[in-house]
Amino acid sequence: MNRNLQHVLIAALLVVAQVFLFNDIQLRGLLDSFVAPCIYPLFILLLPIGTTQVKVQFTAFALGFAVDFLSGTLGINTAACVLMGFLRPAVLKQLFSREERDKGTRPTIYLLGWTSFFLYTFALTFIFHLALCFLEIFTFVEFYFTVLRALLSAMVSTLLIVMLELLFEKKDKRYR
Amino acid sequence: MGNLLRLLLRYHGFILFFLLESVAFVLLSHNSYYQQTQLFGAVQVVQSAYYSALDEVTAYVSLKEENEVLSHENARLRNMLDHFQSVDTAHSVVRVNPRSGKLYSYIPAKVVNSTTNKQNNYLVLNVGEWQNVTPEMGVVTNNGVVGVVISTSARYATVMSLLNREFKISARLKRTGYLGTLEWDGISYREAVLTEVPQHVNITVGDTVETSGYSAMFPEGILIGTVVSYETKKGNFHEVRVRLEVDFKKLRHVNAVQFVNFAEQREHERKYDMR
Repeated sequence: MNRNLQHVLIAALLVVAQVFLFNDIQLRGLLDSFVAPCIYPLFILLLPIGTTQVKVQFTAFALGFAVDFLSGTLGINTAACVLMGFLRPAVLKQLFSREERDKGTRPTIYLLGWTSFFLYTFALTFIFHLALCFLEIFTFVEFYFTVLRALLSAMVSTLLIVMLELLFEKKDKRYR
Repeated sequence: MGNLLRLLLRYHGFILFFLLESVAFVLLSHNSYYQQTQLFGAVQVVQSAYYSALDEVTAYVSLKEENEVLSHENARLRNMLDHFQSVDTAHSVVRVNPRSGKLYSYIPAKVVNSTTNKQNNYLVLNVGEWQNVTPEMGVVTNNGVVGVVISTSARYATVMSLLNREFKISARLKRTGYLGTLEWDGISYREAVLTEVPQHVNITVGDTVETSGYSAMFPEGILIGTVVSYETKKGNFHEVRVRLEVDFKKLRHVNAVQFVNFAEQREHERKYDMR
């Protein structure tokens, strides 16, 4: 299958799964108002390491907008997603040398190893959820409460993303 | 000029970031729940259909509990029917609120989608304009207040849940009759906060909190919950934590309430600028 088409399909699948499945996840008791996991940032996390800023940001914008449009929260996911895309190179810089970054490798769990992939995912999802939570409530009044919400959501998101990555990533396939 | 171009090229990532974020913020700032429901009418129809289908399946899970609730209600209604048959009134969905003497019509509805895990939660009901549901109608269950209808399409209505940071209603402590404002603090889906209760008011844990009837959306004396704790905040007010009677995670059958003379009361309030 055409590689671009394949990517679009994966993105669409992630968006649909997010809106119709993961947005409906509800936990028991107190945790409920603290945890709202997001799995679709996985797509941005896994873009090839050398992808240009412009491409990453437009992809992030499109993804965020799609999720926003379907869940009726225009702007929130878009803004958070673009921020995450913008900060992605800074996080990648910590993990790879210049030569590695120039290659078309995707930062999969098999390439990075468990610890690095966990850190990479958590760092970016935490940024994403911070933006998401603050934009949702749109005030700094209950600062620590909002940070706590972002932190817990990011933890659950990271777990889910790692699980999805383990489920669907093929071990030998480093290049696409 | 060349320098400027070089500068732009050098920082194109940042500039693009700035532009895209601006677009997102423009979208965000133009997106109140009102516009949202207007804009996404089509999307909402698809989503509602999806949730209706999902509900067909998931409804079985809570069937037993629902049956119990319904049989209790049946028993209660049968008792009432006996009473009314003895005084010979015609069957009608319009009921007179015993406290205020106002007329309210009740439209039964089913919840097809709801959230409880956001800071601003909404519900979707399977009734809409075809069933004469209009925005600003209150939504209640046998147990208490659920929310307010904010927009309608032909067959569905979107309801702002009580579990929404923008939701505020006038509520009253039943025993003492003092008023306060009930809002949600975004922490637990089982608890809300009653603020602006004067400090001299004597509160005991377990006191009932009910609607005041000052807003035209809800009839007077609809149960909201019971007091679990209270503390004195800075200033002269109590902050009372209220355990909600409605379990929003188990919500299935609700009623949209319409104050029959709503427009008329509004007209009077407008005349003297009371809202």
